[in-house]
Amino acid sequence: MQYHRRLPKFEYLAPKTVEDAIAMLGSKKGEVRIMAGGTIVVHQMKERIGNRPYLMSLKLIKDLDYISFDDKKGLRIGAMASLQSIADSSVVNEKCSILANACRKLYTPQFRNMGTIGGNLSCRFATAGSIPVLIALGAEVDIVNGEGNRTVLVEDFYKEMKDGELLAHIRVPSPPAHAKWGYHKFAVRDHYDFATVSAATLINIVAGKCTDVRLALGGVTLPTMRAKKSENLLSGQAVTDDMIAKAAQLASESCNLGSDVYFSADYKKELLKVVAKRALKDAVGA
Amino acid sequence: MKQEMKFIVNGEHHAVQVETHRTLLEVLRETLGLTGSKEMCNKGDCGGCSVIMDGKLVLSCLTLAIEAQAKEITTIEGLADGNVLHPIQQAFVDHGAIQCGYCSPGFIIAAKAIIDKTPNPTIDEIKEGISNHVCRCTGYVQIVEAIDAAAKNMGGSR
Amino acid sequence: MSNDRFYEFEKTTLIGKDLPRVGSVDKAMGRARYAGDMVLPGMLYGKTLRSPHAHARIKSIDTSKAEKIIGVKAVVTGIHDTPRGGVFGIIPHTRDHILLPYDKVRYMGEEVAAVAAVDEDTAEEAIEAIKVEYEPLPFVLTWQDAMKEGAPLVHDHRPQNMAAHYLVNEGDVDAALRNSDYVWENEFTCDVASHALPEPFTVVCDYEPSGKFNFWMQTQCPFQVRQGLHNTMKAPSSDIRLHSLPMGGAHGGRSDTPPAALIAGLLSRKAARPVQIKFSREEVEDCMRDKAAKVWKMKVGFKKDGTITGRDIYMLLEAGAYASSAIVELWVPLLIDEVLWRAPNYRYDAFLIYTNKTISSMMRTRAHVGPMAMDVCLDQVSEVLGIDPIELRLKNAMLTNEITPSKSVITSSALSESIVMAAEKSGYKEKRGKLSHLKRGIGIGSGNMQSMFYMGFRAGSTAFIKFNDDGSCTVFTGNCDLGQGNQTMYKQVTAEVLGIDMEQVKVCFGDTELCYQDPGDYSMSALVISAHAIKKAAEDANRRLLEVAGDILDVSWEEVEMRDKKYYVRFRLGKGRGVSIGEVCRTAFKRGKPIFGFGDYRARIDYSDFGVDIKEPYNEKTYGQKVTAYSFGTTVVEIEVDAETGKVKVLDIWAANDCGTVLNPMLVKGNMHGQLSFMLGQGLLEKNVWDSKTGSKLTSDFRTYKVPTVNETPNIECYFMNKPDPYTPYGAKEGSLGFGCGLHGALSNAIYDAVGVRVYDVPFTPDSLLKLIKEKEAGEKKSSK
Repeated sequence: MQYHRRLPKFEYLAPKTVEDAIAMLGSKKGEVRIMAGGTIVVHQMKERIGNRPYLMSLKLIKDLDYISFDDKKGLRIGAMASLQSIADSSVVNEKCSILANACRKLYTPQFRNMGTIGGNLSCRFATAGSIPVLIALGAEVDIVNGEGNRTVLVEDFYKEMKDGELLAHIRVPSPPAHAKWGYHKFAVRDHYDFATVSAATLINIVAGKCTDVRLALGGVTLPTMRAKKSENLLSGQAVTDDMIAKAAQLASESCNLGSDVYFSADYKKELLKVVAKRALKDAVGA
Repeated sequence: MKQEMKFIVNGEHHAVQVETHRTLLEVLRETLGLTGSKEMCNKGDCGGCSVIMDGKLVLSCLTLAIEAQAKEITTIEGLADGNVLHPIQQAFVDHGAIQCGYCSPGFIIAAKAIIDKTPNPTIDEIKEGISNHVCRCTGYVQIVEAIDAAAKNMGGSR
Repeated sequence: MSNDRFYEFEKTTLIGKDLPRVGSVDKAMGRARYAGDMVLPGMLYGKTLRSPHAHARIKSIDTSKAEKIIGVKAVVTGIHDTPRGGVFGIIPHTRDHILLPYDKVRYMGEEVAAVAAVDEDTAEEAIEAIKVEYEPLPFVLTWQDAMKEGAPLVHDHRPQNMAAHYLVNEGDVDAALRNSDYVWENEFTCDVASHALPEPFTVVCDYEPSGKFNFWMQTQCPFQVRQGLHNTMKAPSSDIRLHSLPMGGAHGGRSDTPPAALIAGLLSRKAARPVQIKFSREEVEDCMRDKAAKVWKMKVGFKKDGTITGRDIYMLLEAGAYASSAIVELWVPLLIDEVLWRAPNYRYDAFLIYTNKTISSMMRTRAHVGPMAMDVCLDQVSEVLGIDPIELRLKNAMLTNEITPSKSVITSSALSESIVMAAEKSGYKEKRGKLSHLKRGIGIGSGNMQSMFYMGFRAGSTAFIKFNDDGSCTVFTGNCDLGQGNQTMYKQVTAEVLGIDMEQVKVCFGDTELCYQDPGDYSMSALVISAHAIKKAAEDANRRLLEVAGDILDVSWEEVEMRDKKYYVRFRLGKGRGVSIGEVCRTAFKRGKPIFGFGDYRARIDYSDFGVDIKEPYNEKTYGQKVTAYSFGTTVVEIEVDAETGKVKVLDIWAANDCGTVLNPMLVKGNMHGQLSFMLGQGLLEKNVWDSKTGSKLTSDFRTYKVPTVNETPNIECYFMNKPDPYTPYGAKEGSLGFGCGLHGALSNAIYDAVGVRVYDVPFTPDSLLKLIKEKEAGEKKSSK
């Protein structure tokens, strides 16, 4: 065995339009690896994980790097918009400050400058920091293929998106005016480490009762990121400390997560209970 | 597969042939001889390869060289004016913030990025700005002091 | 005894000043040239083929395909190219490391073959083309498995996988414990820790056709590495030159002769071209060095009044695959442990055990388990006996001029003063026991470090100073500068003695051809040994300068003094003639007696009173002055525990450092911050994990091996005790290690203060602490029912 310092060789593709990108994916079926910001793909290539003969960079597709707002449909962000550009965008800060604040706190300056929202979504890591935030905001993604577009909820894209398709746009509805936001995460080293687990919630309380709520978890498998059972428990109820504790317990029991080099799955489930509880408490207290 | 690349580094125009599987760090160090940016972990975990590209702090070890096409890059070698140190570099020297020096170029470039964006950073903003960086010698205390002193010394100028 | 017994600051101009580090400007500009930045004409790039097995016999190696690849200029294997009989190891009787093995591999990642090619892509291709036939063998990853009956042997000639055993037995510990009013007993462990050095290992070798090897590589001890290469390459020392260069951190991890150096030498000779081998980050973490995992079992007997009657220690540590320099890890904990707390009856029984893992080596924090065990003991016993924890410490802390169980004299200690200082500055007494409602706690821990232990003829340094015709000079010293500030110190000491500006002094360090031999930056000898030799050389030069100046001024040398950088006749009224140092040097040249300085300093290590024959320098009969100087210190730490996750946040550290005279406070403080960062990381964050099925290390980068970043760094206040040592230059002692070695004890005690649980196993990670917190809560619930 040997240790590699250099990247492996590959054929480099740099389409300038979404159509070109789709065409390339179609003509070289299964042989193309898509790269957005590069923070994950280049890292994995160095470790010889997931290598394919072609590397397709999306960096030259200007149509995918934008942030816009529409009164009817809300925020629309191109997949190649960097996390920092979302954090800095006056449009996002005005229309959905929750998203801007969340992006501002993800990772480190270099990873925010290089990392894109689309790349963060499509990496499918349990620890991808933007996914729980987007799920809690009720965000959707536009998936593009040779035949056209379709829009799916963020929490469903992992099962909807197929090889040869491109995640092109993210739509974030503006949160209802009185909706309350809560977010909490656990990392061994704040800022530097990806969150071991996290919880994001958007909750609407009318006359002391929860009218609707979204609770999303980070650090768990993609299918279990939306804590639907906890949402059902809270719906229509007064959000007391006791209810919050129960909802957090249920979220922890219902999700799937694996152990890693550092922590066991059991400990992570304990942590998940804590971050879910704290996120809900933050929201309700806010 | 080689491609031609034109970019600006420390104010100088360069046109080089690069293989597409070379990283920006490799081209800076090996093709242009700018060995100040360091290969410390080569995977984005330490900040030692940090450069400023089109005004943004990035990790050159995770950037394909070819994707720096037409961009403007500042490396550590671009800060001093001949042999006169940039105020940030001087502050690092004056405050004992450099020991083995291997991580220092990364920190100094990150400090420039912090001060360029926020001329009067708080200590928390300084710490956030260097949160991707690893130092094993200094324990970070004098590095933060140096960046704070440099920002105050530069008084809003860049 | 030196004349500067109690150093008076008024006489000095440079000692005690905040001076910037020499070499900082180049580094700030990115212009310092490290080994990885070097390009030599015709240089080739080397890559290494490594074992995929943790333990295996090498049956055959076929390099024929690799050799045919265009661009490959040399291929070496252990079987074909390693000189037979060449072995590396710090101590002769445990030497066991064949740097490029030809028979067996003993850890995953061990070197088997290497190539040098015109570029790295070609070199990687060639490595893929080498075919090795292995016979995999069963392996052991923990000391428990290694010591089991019938366990596979890492080295066939070492039964039970025991590399070495060291025993010190003074007085009658068993009787002392039997007759004590209270016996405390407990067990502590610490995990394998990694240095995670900034500069990945890089070696450049340029072999000259005449037979000379030129090396550029990171090392703390160039002369030791040269000896290692001399032994393994079978080349004369004069044909092996280690050049001086800046290095990206060492912290103890560059004390050995690495296989890559031998490999680079063999490749360069075969290819007749320079060869550069650069490691990747993972390669460094898997295949260089780690710090041994340790088990520390201890019993301590106390009288009712808190006086220690005896201490009984059993220590076990993992060597990894080779004894290498891990052997030193066996006795250093003794050198450290026996100096802190007085024990008239003392037993230290230590074992070094082989495992099929990365080789163990020095590390700046290695002393921590012993001090931690005692600090937890003292806190626990203070509760049992009802004695204030500070009083209990002061009662048992060893003092200046006391003698240790192995008969070493403590020439200076401000340990007690450091305990008082740290407690006072932190508000320890006011806070302890009063912050648990906030889940906050405060804890105290003391540590120390030895400077220069027994190293035979290497335990000494020789310095030479050469003067130029303008009066500037160059100091030649075999020690290195790893970035901590040694060059600055050498210039400072020289300039101080001669009365000249630091800018007039240059330092040539660590070049084995130009400098005299030196222990290297090993066992903290840079100040106590190397700087001492430099000071003597400067004093020697100073005497020659004064004599020539006296001749010029027509007075005896005793009437000459240096004022405002010129020589004048002392006490003469009016200004009189001032002679520049340049004029003195030129006059000396004209006379055929150029000015120079020569100084040698041998470590104050002496076993002669005990009539010991030093073939095995550390065995149970070795008594005597073991160490040239001891430094001490105490840290107090205040923390906050998140009792729902087990995560510890460190708020403040107060560090009181007994490092004698402080030559350069700004630099020493920076070194102190670095030590505290290392200690914090290993205490709370850093964990190494191996795959038990394959023997592969899983924590080989900064993301998985969690070293501290700026956001894990607390507020740190540093204090100096300023108590000079009678034997060291200006009374100074090492100041960047010893004081901080008590931090793990302080953390353990602070955790108890905050949440009422005791932690004994380093690192105190959130999951392990949460488990203990929950067990305590469950226990409390049960008892309240």
